[in-house]
Amino acid sequence: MIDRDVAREAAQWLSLLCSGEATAQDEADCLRWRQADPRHEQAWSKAEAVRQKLGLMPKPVAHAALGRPRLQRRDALKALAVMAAAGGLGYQVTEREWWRHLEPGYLTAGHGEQRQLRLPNGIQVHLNTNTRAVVEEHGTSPKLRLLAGELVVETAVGSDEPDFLIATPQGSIRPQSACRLHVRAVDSQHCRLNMLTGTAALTPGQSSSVISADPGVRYDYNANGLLQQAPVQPYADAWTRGVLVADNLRLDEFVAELQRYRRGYVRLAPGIAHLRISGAFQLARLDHTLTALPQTLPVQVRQLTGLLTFIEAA
Amino acid sequence: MSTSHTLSHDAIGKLYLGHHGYLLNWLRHKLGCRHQAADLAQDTFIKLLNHRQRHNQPLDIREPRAYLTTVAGRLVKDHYRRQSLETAYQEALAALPERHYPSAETQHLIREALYELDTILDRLKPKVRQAFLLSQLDGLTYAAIAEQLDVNLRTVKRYMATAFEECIMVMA
Repeated sequence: MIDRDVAREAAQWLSLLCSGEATAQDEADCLRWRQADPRHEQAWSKAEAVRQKLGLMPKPVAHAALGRPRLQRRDALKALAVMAAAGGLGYQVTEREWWRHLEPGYLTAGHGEQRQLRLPNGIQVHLNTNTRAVVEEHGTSPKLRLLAGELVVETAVGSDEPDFLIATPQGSIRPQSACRLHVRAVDSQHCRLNMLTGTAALTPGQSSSVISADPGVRYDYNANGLLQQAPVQPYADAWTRGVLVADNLRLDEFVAELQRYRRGYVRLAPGIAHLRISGAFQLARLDHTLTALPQTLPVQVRQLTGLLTFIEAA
Repeated sequence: MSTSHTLSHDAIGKLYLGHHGYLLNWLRHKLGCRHQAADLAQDTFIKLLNHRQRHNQPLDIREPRAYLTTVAGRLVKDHYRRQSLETAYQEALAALPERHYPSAETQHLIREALYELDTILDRLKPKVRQAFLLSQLDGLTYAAIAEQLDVNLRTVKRYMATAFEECIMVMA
């Protein structure tokens, strides 16, 4: 902690030396002041660090970013009021979950983020938006615990039986071969496994029954067992390639999907939710996707601030 | 795990169990986004935990909710500031000629440094901030700054001293 008085003295010296009016005598006096006490030098070096950082910045960038007009308090409150009126959905985190931020091996992808990482044994993990997971050591082999969100896991070609376990809130998955699978904690009650390639052993909940998951099949399960089995969702992992695929989606479903990746709020006027949309959209350009909607659908899009978008019938 | 770690887990754990729901609700109304609200609620508790570990004494919180919302309110403000900084940064980058475009890694370093500098500058009054940038970024003399900001020379000196003092206190 630096004493306020020392900081003030150092600041006086700096102000003088940067004025362009300082004499050689001033500079010598300043140097003597710095050397008189280690606390002086410490305060001085803090300010020097800031000056150095500023000096290394590309000038136009630093100007535009640091000199930007700032919201006055009143404007900020207004923006908050709009957001408060617009938003608000139920949300729960489990009480145990937040501690995991502090654990080593905690993985997280924030709203709109995708992350990719490699575990031992050549295992690739992709995290989609709003995902939390933990890598737990289990002997020499890793165990990946999904807490919320969705993952794509790829085990290396060639390793026939990777000793690797994926734990989900409602059961566990053990890859049986080189495979690519998608797993999502759909809600607090149930999970979905899309077996894209390869095979795995799925054990729902605490049950002792093991289901053999085959490629091309989707499994919905909860803590009590298998809920349903259906063909795989073909675009479940499109986000790993930075794409959102809509296959004849209702507009309200499409917007909901979009909002998993985008900041801000979209309000859909009544009467257009049933419109259908198909296409592949770049996750990095979803704002553009929204504004381009009128090109394919009979709607108009109005943006109020960057945070609030209205979609209405054209 | 050290003793202080365990103790702080315990004290703040109680706070967490008792008021996490309330804080989340409060943040959700402020932010309008449940995911951001959840993130900032986590950050609030982590902040308390760090505070507890740094000062190595029990947090004395008589009004837990008022305390939590004060800490969280600061984080919300920070969050919006970071967002507006990021926007301005991206726009400035986009305006650069291609040959000056920094690599992804350099961009990241610049972003982090900008955020740090912005934290300091945000505490300054607009004119003080302007004076500081004109001097340290553009290398203008105090006389030139005085003219541009329409203040006298003594005031510029005072502005600069204030800015440097803030630099030192924030960096400490």
